[in-house]
Amino acid sequence: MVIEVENLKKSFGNLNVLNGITTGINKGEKIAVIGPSGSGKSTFLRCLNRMEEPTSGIIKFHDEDITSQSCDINKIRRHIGMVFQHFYLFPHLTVRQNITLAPVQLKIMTQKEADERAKYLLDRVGLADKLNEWPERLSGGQKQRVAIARALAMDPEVLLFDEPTSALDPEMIGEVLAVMKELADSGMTMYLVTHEMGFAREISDRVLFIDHGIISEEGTPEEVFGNPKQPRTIEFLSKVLRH
Amino acid sequence: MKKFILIVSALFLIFSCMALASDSGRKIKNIRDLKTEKLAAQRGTVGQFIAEELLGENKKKLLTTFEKYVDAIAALRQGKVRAVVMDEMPAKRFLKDVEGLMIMKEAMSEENYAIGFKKGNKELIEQVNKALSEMKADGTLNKIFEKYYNSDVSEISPDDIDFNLNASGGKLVVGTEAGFAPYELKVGNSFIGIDVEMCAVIAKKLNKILVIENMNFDALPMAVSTGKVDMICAGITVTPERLENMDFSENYVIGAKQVAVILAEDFAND
Amino acid sequence: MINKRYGASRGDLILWACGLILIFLLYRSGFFTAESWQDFNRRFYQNFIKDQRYMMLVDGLRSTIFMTGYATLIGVAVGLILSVIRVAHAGGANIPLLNALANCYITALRGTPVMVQLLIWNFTIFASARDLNTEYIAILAFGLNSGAYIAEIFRGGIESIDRGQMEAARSLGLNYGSSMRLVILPQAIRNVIPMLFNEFIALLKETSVAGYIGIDDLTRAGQNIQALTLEHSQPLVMVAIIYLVIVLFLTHLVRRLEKFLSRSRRG
Repeated sequence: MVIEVENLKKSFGNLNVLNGITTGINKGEKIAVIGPSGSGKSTFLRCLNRMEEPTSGIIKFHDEDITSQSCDINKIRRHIGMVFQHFYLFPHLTVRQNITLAPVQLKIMTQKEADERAKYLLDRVGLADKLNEWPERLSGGQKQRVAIARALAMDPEVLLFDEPTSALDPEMIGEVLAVMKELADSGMTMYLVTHEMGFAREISDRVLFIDHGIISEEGTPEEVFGNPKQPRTIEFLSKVLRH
Repeated sequence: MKKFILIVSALFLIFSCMALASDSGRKIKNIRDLKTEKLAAQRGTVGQFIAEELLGENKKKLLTTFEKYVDAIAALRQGKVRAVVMDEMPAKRFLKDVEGLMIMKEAMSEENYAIGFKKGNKELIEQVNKALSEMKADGTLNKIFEKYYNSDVSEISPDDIDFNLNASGGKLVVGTEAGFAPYELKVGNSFIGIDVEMCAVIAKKLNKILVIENMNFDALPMAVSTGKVDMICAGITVTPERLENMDFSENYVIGAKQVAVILAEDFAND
Repeated sequence: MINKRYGASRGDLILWACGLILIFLLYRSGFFTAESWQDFNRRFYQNFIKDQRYMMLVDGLRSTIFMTGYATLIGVAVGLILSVIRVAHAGGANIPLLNALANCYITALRGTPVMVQLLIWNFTIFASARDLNTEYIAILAFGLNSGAYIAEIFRGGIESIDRGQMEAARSLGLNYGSSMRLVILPQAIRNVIPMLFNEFIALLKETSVAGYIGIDDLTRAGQNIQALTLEHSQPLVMVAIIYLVIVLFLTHLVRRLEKFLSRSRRG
């Protein structure tokens, strides 16, 4: 297992968002996390690299408990890439600098190596010509593809996608999904929080349906989408699939 | 818009009335007449103390103190005060350059100038006293006074004063307020004046470089007592209050007068 | 609506009215007679031309700009450190003592007049430092004072940056300090550059109290000329005009800069 989660709980003040989640992800596995708004699926994802501090429970990355005090979370995060809903490209840096900042600063690569890798990654996400462009001159879809390239620059073992297409105009969703599909096909380990049910069904090996802070249903895409068992899942899917 | 014009007209009227009101006033015959008039003085000077004494309990209401003599004289000319209490020498210089002023004949007091030191700085006081005695004895001091009595300050250049810049015995830092002609005045980026030339000779005798620190008069006692400067030389009168906080050299000016400057038109001629 | 039709705003009318009143007052005081004009010229010569007295103003201006420039640099450095301490503390860093110190510093220096601080620096803290150039003491006093204001400017700038920027940097494995230095601060500083310029302008005017500790800045230079010529109004009016011209020029620059920054940010 790459990541193991045991009885993960998270509360903000009096509000219990995660009420005990136990799950895990294997190498090369693609897991789609779906559920209604406010169900805790984003919080779950953000706990995996400690963007949010878990209230209790254990999260292991290659058998190392990353919630313990002795764990250097900065080292762990190098191996867990994250792609955000709102991209969060660094607006004061060019596309190339966005991609090379972390590998060079963390002395994983020289600037020259990082530049080479940036070129390669941009080519991979179809933006080879944007190497020296400023983020503000890119469209939403292009920004998100650059953000994916930035996450890939650290050569992570796992990628966490936090609703990567929710902030995009409809005509730009396709290009981002295509990049993610290519990534999935190349064997990347992925957690994907999304509202794109069709895409989730297409690329995932397993689907988690999170509701009220627990995994209320889990299974292959065929099981969850084709033959949901829990009434909440049925209700949710009937709402989102009608659109 | 109407409102605005109204406000402006009203303000204008008020100012006109104020201007008219300030024109009226009693004529001044002698010093006693000043007891109930608005007076001005330079802050921290003996002129202020004398004015306070003259006004008695009215001093809060009637006395205005300024950082600079120029400001006090401006207030006099604008009718904001009726008289300025100040040293005679700078007063005479104002009379020469500014029309419509006069000095009241009676002096308000006579006093002596000395150099001020940090309390207990015996070694330096002794050295300076010795230098002063020598200067008095051989006529050097008189020569300096004569130079300034016989010529206008605008004819004197700081280039002629030897600040003893090549001395080997360290610095002699002198605090002063360079707005007190003919004793001290800033010209360009250097200084002239009786005090300055006198200190230059003293520095020479002590084999020290003369450094002048120009500050406000009321900051001088603070500067010398904290050690910012070695001594202060700015036409300073020895008073009992000052003796409590600092020590003085022997006097180098005896009988300097404090006078009242008024507008000539205010003077009762009879 | 009326304003638009006639092309004159209320502000314009007020300006015209003030101008007319001023001209009327000048006329009444005999300003427009040939005699007073000659007198004006004579006094102007006395105050500024004779013996190169304008050089006193030039030297004073040099001192004013020297002090303001270096004080702003100190202020930016101090402000940056203070603001990062406060933001880091608010962001959960365990630095209660540092934060308390920063708070005390900002409260004390913003809560007391800069003039009083200047006197304390010169006559209490550096009382015995005689060989130290007084201008350096003034730079320190003004710089540390403006640091307290600039700290709040920076804090606003840092807090205006989207939280996601920090998260994105941290998610790549950068630690808090590097994320702050490489991602947050460059953006924050760029956002507050116009405000830093405004602080510079404010400081330029504040340094006019430096004369109190014996520095011949621009204001004091005017006073020195007053003492030389016994003329009251002209030297000070000239000093005011010089300040005003510099401030107007800098304000113009800030506007240009703001426009440039907002344009380049939008792309």
